[in-house]
Amino acid sequence: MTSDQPIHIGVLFSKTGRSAVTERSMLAATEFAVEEINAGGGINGRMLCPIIRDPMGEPSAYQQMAAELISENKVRVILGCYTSSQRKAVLSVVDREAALLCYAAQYEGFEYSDNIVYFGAVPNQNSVFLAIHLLKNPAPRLYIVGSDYVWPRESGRIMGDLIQSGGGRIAGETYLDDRAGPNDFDALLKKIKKDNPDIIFNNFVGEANRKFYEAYVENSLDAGRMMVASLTTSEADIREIGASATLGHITAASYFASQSNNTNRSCLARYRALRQEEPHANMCWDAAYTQTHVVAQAMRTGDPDNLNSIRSGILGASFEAPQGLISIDPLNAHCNLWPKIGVARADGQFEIVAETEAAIRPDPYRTTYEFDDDMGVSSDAAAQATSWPRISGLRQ
Amino acid sequence: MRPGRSEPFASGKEQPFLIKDLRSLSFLLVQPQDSDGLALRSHLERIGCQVQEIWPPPQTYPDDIDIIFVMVDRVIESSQTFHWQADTPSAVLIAVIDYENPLSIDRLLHMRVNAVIGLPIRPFGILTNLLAAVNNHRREQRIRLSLERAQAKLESCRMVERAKLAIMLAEGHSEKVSYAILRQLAMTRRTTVEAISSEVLTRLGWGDGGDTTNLADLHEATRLLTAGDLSAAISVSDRSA
Repeated sequence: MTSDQPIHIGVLFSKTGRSAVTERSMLAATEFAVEEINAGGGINGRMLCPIIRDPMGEPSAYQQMAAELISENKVRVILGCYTSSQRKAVLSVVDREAALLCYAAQYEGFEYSDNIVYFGAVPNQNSVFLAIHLLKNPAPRLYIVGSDYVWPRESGRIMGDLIQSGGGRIAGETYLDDRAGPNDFDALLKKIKKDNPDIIFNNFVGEANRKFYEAYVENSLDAGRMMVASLTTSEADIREIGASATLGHITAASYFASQSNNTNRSCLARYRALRQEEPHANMCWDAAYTQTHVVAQAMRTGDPDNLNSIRSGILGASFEAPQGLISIDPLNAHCNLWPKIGVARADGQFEIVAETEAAIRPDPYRTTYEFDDDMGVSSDAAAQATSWPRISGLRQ
Repeated sequence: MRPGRSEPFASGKEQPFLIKDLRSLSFLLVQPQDSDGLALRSHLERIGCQVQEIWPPPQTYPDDIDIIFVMVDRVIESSQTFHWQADTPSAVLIAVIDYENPLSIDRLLHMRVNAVIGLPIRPFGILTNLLAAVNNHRREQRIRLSLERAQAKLESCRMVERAKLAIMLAEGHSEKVSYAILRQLAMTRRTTVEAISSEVLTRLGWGDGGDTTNLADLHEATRLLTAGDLSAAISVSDRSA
C-alpha cells in the first residue's frame, strides 16, 4: 500500500430512529474532528476518509453494516453505536473480524473486549457523582423510572443502592415497555404524582425521554415541586423536549457545552467557523469528537493500517478534550473522565453547579455501590483504587 | 426483593455467592509468564480480583486461596506435576486448556475441575463461569459437610443401640429400661449417652469384630460397670414407665 492512499474508517450513526437526535450530534462531531485532522495534515500526509453508514437505529443493521465496512471497505476502525444493543451487535462482528470499535456513549459497564475502546462514562463515574449531589438533600425519597432494558435497570439498581446507603429512600421503581405510548407515560406520572417523591430519577432515553417529559408537564409538575435527575438528558435531548419542560432539572455528565474552559470554548468556535452551523454539543458529541482525534493520534504514532498498532496507540493515550484532559486506562480500555452536575437553564444549556477536582478512573466491573459514614465511597480494595476526589464548591 | 427479570429463577433456598462478594476472594494463577497468562491475569484484575501468580506448580496450596486457575497443558508441556487433592479440594479449581481431546478431558475429570476456560483467553463469560463455579463448589462443600455429620450421627446411633442390646442381654431389661440406664449413667457422670455407650462396649470388649462374650461374663461385667448407679437408674426408669 502506498503512503499517499487515504485511510478509511467506518462510521455508524443513525440519522433516523429512536435515538437519532443524539446520534446525529455524534455524527456531526465525528465529521468535524475528521475535517480538523485532515486540515492539520491528516495521518502523516494521508487523508482520513470516513465511510458513513446509517443503520437507522436497528441493531441488526449495525451488525450487518459493520461486517460490510470491515470485509468490503477494509476498515480497521469503526466509530459508532449509541445503545447497548447496538454495541453488542457490532461487538460480535469486530471480535470475529479483527477490527476495533470506538464507543462514545455512557453505558452500564460489565464489558471488556480487546476490540472495543470505551469513551463514555461507566456508573462509578457519573452515578456516584449524581448520588453525592442528590444526598445533599436530607434523606431524599427517589422514584426510579426508565425503559425496560439493561441500562435503565442497572442504572436504577446502582442509584437505589447509593441513595439508600446514604440515608435516602426509594419510593418506587417503574420500567416501561419499549412500546409504551403517551397513555402509559401519563399513567406513570399520575402514579408518581400521587406518591409524591422528592426526586424522579429518570433513565428514559431518546424518544421515550421526550414522552416522559410531555406527560410530566401535562400533569402540571415542575422542578420546584418534584425535581428530575438524569444521567442521559443532554442538550441534544432538551432541543427535542423543549427547554421549558426541563428547566431546573439536573443531569450528571462528563461534559456540558456551557463549560468555560479554553479547550471547550475554542473547540466550539472552530466548529462554528468550519461548519457554519451551531454545534449541538452534548456529552456524546464530546466523546465522539474525542475518540476520532484519539484514533488519529494513535494512527500517526504507529502503523495506521495495523489494528494492533492502532489499539496499543490508543491504550494509555491522553487527549485534551473539551470536557478536560482525558486518558484511556490501558487495563480496561475505558476513559478517565470528569463528571459534573448541570442544572438545565431556560436556554436549553446547563449551569454547572459541581465538578470533580480530578478525572475519575473507570471501574466498569464495580459491583457494590454504597457510601460509608464519611460520605466517601466504601473502602473495599477496588474502591480505593478508584479514589474519589472532593467535590469543588458550588460555582453559582 | 426488587422487581426484576431474575425472579422466575430464584430458588429462595440458599443465598448464592453473589457478584458483589467477588472482590473478597483471593485468586492464584498456576501458569508460566506468557501472553495467555497475562491476558487471564489482566482480565481478572479488570474485574477487580486479588490475583497472585505461581510457577512452577507448588506442592501444596495455602488455605487462604479461594480460587486456583491452572494452565493444564502448560504444566504437561513443561513436564511439571500439578499436585491436587481432588477428594478434599482446598479451593475452587478452574482449568485453562488448549486441547479438548479424550485424554485431556479424562485428565480434567480426574482432577475434578469446577470449570474450564479455553485458550486463547476471551474475556466474555469468564466472570459468569467463575461465579457459577464458586457457587457449585460451595454447594458441594455444604453437602459434603452435612453428609459427614449424618455419617457421624449414624455411627453414634449404632453404638448406643449395641450398648442397649448388651444391657438387655445381660440384665434381662426391656429396651426402654436399658436405654434409661444408659441415660442415667450419662447424667450421673456428666457425659453423653454416646460416650457412655462407647465405654460400656469397650469394657465389655464389644468392639467391632470382637469375640462374642459369654452371657455370664456379660452379666458380671455389666454389674461391675453399673454398680452403685444401676439401682437408681432402674428405679428412675420404673417410675417413669
